[in-house]
Amino acid sequence: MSRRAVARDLRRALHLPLLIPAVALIAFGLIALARIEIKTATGWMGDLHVRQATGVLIGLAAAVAAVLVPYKKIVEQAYLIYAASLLLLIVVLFAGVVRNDARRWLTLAGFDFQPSELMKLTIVLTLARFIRFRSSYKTFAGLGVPFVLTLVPMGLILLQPDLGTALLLAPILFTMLFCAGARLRHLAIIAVMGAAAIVPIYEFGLKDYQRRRIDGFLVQLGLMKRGKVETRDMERKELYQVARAQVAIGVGGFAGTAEGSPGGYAALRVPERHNDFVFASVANRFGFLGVIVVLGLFIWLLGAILGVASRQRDPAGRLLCLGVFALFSFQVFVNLAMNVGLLPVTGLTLPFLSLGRSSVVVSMLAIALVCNVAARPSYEFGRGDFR
Amino acid sequence: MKPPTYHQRLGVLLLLCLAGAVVILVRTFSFQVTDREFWEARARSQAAGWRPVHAPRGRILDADGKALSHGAAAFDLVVRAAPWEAERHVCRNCAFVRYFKPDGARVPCPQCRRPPRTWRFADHRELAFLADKLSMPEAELRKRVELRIDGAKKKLKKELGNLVGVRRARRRRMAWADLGWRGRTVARDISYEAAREVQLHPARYPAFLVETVQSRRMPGGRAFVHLVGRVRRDRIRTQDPEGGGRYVDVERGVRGLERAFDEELSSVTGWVRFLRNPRGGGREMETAARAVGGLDVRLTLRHEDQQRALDVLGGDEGALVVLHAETGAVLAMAASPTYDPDEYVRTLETWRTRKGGPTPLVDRAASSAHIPGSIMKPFTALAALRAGVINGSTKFHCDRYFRTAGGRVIRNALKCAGVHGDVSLHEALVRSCNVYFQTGMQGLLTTRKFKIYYETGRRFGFGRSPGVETSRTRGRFEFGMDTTWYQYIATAIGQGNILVTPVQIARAYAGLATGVLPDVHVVAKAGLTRTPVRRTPLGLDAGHLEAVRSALREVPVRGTARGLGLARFQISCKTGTAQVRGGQRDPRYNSWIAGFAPARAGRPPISFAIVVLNARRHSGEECGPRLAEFLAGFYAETTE
Repeated sequence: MSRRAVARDLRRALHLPLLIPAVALIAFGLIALARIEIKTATGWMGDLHVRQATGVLIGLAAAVAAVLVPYKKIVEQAYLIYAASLLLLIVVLFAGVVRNDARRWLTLAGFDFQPSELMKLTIVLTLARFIRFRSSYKTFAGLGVPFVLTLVPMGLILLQPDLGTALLLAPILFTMLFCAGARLRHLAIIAVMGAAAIVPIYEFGLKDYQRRRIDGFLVQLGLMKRGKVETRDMERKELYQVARAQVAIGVGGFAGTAEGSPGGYAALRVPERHNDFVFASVANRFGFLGVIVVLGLFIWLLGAILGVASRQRDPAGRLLCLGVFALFSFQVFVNLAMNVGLLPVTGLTLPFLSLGRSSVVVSMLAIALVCNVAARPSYEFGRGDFR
Repeated sequence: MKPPTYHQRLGVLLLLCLAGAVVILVRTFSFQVTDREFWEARARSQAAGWRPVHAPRGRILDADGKALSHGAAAFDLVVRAAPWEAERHVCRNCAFVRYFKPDGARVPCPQCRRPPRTWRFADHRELAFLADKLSMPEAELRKRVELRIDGAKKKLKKELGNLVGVRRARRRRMAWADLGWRGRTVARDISYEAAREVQLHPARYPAFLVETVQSRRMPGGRAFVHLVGRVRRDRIRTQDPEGGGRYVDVERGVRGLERAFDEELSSVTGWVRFLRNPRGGGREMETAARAVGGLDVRLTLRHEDQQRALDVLGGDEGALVVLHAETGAVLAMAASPTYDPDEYVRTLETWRTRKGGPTPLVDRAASSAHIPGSIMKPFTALAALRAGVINGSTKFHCDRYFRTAGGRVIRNALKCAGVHGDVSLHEALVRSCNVYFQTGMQGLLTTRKFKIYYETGRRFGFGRSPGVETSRTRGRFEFGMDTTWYQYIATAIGQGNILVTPVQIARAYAGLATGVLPDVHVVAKAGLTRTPVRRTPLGLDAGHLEAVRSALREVPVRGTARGLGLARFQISCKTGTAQVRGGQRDPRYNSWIAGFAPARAGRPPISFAIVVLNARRHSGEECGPRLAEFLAGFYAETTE
């Protein structure tokens, strides 16, 4: 590819309505992480933004690379990427690094890498590849293959265990099928079946700590009754993170807290304040104004993705955008709802803001894919409802 | 119905997205704007903590201000079950210590990031070093640790025994977790070196902690242990000023003056509110309640006198009490055998294993009552004089045995030591004639005037608490339907139904000396309050009292206490020997001398009582030299 062609492709990919909120969120995330300290085995550690910045740089390189290759070519290779991702998921079960009783990370050249993060994007590509020129998913039986394609990595991720990421794959599948024109009653039947499976999954499919988290959440909402002693115990354990996060958010007020004040200390008491609960740290430090900014940027970003999906005519391009939309929207709203106590703690990160190089690289890759789609408008029509 | 178009479906997604955003915004708004004050209060309560501040318990001082008991910082060694029982591993590379559950997965070292295989299993081998510092065998320390942990587990199992099903499982899990990290005291009051060793090397002794606590020191030692008593340290659940539950250590008096004046001696725990810094440490914000130290208690006796009193008892079972005859202030009150206050537990264990021996835990001066013997004769004489049964010139014939009104001769253990012939009251007291007083008692009985004897005894404080703060023992001075004629007769010479404490006797002799019965007190001042002197006039005829006193003055000169070296102290006294057991072959006696002395050599007028229990010799031989030795020292050292 000539230099001129590269420059042209990059210029086309600069889809500002998409890039402005994404860059703003990355910048906001770096600012927020610069003000967060965490306690490690060797003492207090700051400079989290430096670690995140290295992830951003890697993500930038990956995004540029992803923009230069036409998305259709990437989609063509989706099954190969899917197979590689599955292999990585299998490898991590045997050779992964254990942290907090979970085996989720692979160490590559000194960097920790989370294959399940890659699988989030892979599943978008794979489903886009599968659905784009088919109409089989409009029958109930035809839904089998997309579900199998999704359930296999879900199972492998659950073995790590990483319930949050595993659950994220299901909304991606549903959103892509819904927008591709799958019958609503088929999806509704599957959703009802899934809902019916909740009780046996709760009883037999969850680990003890996951079950207690759900119990804690129900107790917190007043939907489940427990004895005084046990409730207090839950507040110290299962509800500990949420209770601390709520205090940190609440004390932030309209304009945020100052460092070294009792309110500022509240943020330091939130476990995983740099990770799953980074929103609590942001809300504490920047107050309601910060919340409006973050939420506004996410809505802008999601709206921009939907805009690209709306303008794109190519089914694969549309499905890619919708998969990325589902990926971000589910991750954002579940994480925020978890922070404010509306959903149980699942371990999902907030895209661009939570510390995590794998997460930020995959998020930037996802944005790059949407930019790629936006840069290459297609006049190829899909079938049926895609028309 | 026509299915929705692609763009309509996108519209649904956008609407869902906006709805989610609105929900999050509303919820956050309610947190940060509407309910902000609630969350701020929550944050304040999380950020601020309450720390108890302990003030020292008050001191117990002797008359010269010398501390007999005071508080001091001490160190307790505490073990925690979880690190003790966990598998302990040390990183070969950086010596980072980590604990694993027995089936736990191996992980990389969080410090040096080396792979799991760098872990080295480490037993608690350092225990030997610690045991050495604690001056105890390693096996003993290990046994103590395991006993504490096993005991706690057994107690917990018992507590959880009644719970069933899922709740039981959940509570057990919680309780085990709590148990694992709650400390159990293994050794109290350990040396500074041992405490330093543990505190400086937390990685070497991870299962151990050192707690700094208030401990009671008793420089008074063995001489004061019965009087001062002892304290027990309890961990009680209390509330901080905001009503939060807290455990604090408190010292409570459980014996002696520590118990009697617990309220005055106790300190008040103060509370300091501090801002917890999650990075570690904290900053004091305000003192909500000031800690108040306990008040001092000053005694009426001097350390030297008390020590001397204990020394003359020489470890034999007995007691020596010296009172200020006019005020009732205790000048010495020693009991033997005694024990080292620092060795209470060992003393208890030793005594329990050595069954039958005299226990050192009983205060024989104030808390245990004994058969008095002939030292009761002056009071019998006063009763007979009051009743008119005898007068100063009344004589009875003594041929060693008491004869009843019917002429029957009583040949038993209550006979006189020799034939006294015709004796007057004066001579009877000087030579301690049993027959004289038995005959007098018979007169009281036949004239139905025994009530006067009882009432006289009560006036002298028999059968009543003498007022001393450490004990309420009243002894026995009760007569009723079940009292036999023989017991009444025996009462005349201090046998029968009478039991007295040495303090009661010393007090009664103070009354005899002054005509006024003082309340005994050992505390001169508790806090800012001086103990008032309470004196009760006996209401006896001065002539009767003088008749008795004049006889007692001659006892050390030519009476039963002659030749014992007591005459030089110008004391008036009475000896008493009561056989308590052993029969004719190996008789054992309660040997007494009680009396009073005028003020001299800078000392106030005193009354005293010395008793040696289960002695092999009679009172003069047993108690005389001891009393003489005590008085010699007592008068040689004058108070300022």
